[in-house]
Amino acid sequence: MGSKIVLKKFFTKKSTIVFLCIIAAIVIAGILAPWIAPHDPVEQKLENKFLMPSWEYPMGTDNFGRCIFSRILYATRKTLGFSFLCTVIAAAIGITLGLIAGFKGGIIDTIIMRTCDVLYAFPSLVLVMAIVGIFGTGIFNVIIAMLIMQWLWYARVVRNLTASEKCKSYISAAKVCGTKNTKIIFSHIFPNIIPYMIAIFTVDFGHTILSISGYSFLGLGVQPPESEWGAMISDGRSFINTDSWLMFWPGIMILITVVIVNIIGDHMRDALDSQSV
Amino acid sequence: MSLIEIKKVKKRYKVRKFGKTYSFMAVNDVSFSVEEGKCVGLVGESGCGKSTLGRLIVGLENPTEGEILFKDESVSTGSDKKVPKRLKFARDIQMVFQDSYDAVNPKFTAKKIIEEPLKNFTDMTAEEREKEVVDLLHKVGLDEKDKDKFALEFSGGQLQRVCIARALASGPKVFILDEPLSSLDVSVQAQILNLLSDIKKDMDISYLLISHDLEAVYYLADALVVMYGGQIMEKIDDISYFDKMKHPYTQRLLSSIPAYEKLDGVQENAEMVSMDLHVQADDFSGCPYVGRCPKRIDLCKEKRPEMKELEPKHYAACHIL
Amino acid sequence: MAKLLEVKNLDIRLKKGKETIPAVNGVSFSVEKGKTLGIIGESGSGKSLTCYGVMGLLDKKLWDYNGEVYLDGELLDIKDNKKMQKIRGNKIALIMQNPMSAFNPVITIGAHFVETINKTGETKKTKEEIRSKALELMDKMRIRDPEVVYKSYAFQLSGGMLQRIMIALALVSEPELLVADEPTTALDLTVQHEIMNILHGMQKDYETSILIVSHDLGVISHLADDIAVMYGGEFMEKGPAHKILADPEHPYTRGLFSSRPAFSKERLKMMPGSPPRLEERGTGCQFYGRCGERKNGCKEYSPDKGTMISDREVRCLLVDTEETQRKLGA
Repeated sequence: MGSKIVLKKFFTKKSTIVFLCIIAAIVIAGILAPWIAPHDPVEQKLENKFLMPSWEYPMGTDNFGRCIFSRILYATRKTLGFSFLCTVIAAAIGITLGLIAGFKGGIIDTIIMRTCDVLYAFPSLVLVMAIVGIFGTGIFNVIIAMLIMQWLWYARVVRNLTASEKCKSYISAAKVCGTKNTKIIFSHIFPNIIPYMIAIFTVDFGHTILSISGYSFLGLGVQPPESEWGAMISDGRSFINTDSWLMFWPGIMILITVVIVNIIGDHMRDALDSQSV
Repeated sequence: MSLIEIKKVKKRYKVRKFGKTYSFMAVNDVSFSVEEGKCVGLVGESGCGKSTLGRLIVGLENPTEGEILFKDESVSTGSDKKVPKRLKFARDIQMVFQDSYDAVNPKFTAKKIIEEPLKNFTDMTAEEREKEVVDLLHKVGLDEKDKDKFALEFSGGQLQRVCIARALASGPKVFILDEPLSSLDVSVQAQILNLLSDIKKDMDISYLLISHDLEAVYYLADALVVMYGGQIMEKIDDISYFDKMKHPYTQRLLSSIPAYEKLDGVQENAEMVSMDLHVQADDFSGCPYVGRCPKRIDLCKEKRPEMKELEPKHYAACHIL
Repeated sequence: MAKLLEVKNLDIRLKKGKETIPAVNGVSFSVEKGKTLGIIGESGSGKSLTCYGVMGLLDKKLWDYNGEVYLDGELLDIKDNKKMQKIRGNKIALIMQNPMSAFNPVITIGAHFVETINKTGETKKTKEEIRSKALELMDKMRIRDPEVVYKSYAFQLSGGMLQRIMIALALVSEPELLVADEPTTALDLTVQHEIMNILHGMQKDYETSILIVSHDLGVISHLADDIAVMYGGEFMEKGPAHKILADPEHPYTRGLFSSRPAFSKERLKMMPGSPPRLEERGTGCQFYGRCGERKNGCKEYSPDKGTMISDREVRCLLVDTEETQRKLGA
């Protein structure tokens, strides 16, 4: 009932649907990259370097003569895929721990929440650097480092939502009806906090895209010759004065994706707010 | 035979206020029993511990001291602080809550709400459960087609009926009714009161009716317990003694009801600043009503009055009686 | 007796998209000087809206309201917030349902008095003057240790105490009309009784008129000189309290009165169904769906005004017969 109203409200905004379509197009393009990309993204043809956009190379070529369009398509898979993976795992960990902390309360709650506080105090960039420094560069180490920082968001929000849900008498009623605690968590509390989670998830997804690209730009994430939006900007940096489109295309992709994801998150939150009034 | 027996039950809570921790007795040395097939009315103002007592009886919380027995077996499952994993007598002792919109999961349909205890307590198949749900809906005066409605699509009175149907589902012996009327409109209250009185007659369920509404309690109850500040002030085992109740607090309560015109207004001492916590504090040994009592004597501040039998079936805790 | 407040054809509609849904339908009433009018009704009957409508406190984005409100024979512009604000401070005061949320938690009770007095009074007063005035008022409200209370914050006090203070604050400007919206609902029984006595005593001392709204028949019968029974945005019955309480004419009033057990164990007579929500209201008699005495024609019965029987107005087809019309004519 509640979530139906939220979804209805969410989909009545025309701009939301337009933005959702754009995101869907980007995702599908990424998935279908091997079929729609006109060239091999890593194949180097030095004689074709720094070509202007043309029919054959829709976004031109880079300093190694690689097709930027193909590279962007393949990079979409990496950037969005890893961001999604990272957000999903963070959400799963955070939600589980938050539910446990909020429902159980007491010492478990204290331990989980203090852990959150301690991690909060760490600048995330420093932590990522440290982990990558210890385990070596590579996208998976970056993701692990980011996970450590990211689950807290979910854990905190879920814990507070759970604690406030727990006080409502339907939880007492469920206990009186003989329902076990684990079932109360999953069939009563969890469905009631899902809409909030989706809203946080979308906004967080945007952040993660930025971070993953950022770390790759710094050379910590995806390693060459594979393409990634952040890494592509980094590659194009040396040619900013002469051939700036090398940076322009991946930059514009990040901009569009993050802005749209954030707008969708905002709309989701608006839809949620209007339900509570 | 007494179905539920409450023996010297105490419940202590700790509250934090401005950094200091106070402990106070929400329920302090309360004893009474609920006889089979009877309705006991538990009356008092907010903060008197009546709802806490209700939660203690179903087992949602455990008493600090004392015992609550259902058919001579203790309902509590563990230590004071630990919340029990599963309630021992959930099948036999059911509860109806104050605000029905708060007492059901807003994501559930009526069918799912009523089905919950059936799933937990019986091995019924899905079809059997469906039949049982329709049966229960009829019993509480709702229609079969209401079963697919979501909680928010019902009016307050209808949803309270759904809650009663859910409580009936496990075939309980006792109902704890925690202010079942207070969130309803006057005309709907009458419907629920009649429904409750029908159910009591037809299904032989004992009630503990917790309410601040003396009029409604009088309508349903066979016995009456008046609480103030966590303690029992006056108790009658037969409602026919109602007119003879004479504890100063009961008198005060009765004189506040415009519909009860047998008493002239009893004057009360002007209200003090935040007296309740102090009266229910751990180390306070006097009568909890002393601050507001117009008839107090010096002894009231120092010594807690014992429960005295004024006449058969009529007890009161007061020094001046 | 002179009429202090007169309301004619108050219409309040809820704005929903391009449509508007009627919430209060052309209600007319008056409050005499030094008397109390009690409006009784169930949830969603529009009783509180009527109050806020009279005071011009409704949010114009949500509500569309029209009607003539006269205070002391002077037409008020209820849509002009600035003009109403002046009147609200000085001539009309409001007591709200939930005293806990009506106070600012970060300033003391004394500061509330200072603020109220300085806002309403024409000349600024010194702190000492305000203090003595506040203490005097609180003493009248039967508050023990008013000096302690004066220095306290709202969260340190009980609900009953805050409600007394709210009444004291309302009385600061010595208003001619006190509007009380469910003043005792959030309070305990004994406290409720105390507040009713205070309101009653205050009316004697200051000759204030009171417009009180409640769902509780006990409160209304205790305080009101006149009663209006509201249902579905209309007055079903209106007249002197003793007459309505002794002999209700409208089936709804009768049903409402018999819904309370009144210390007997006899089976309650009950009205089926529940009060309609705003969207569920029909045309014609609003009570039609739940009425046990309905006849043909009830469904379409929707007069501009109820039938007058001596000093009582009843809006019901059963009363509005040719027979009564003839009697009234004669």
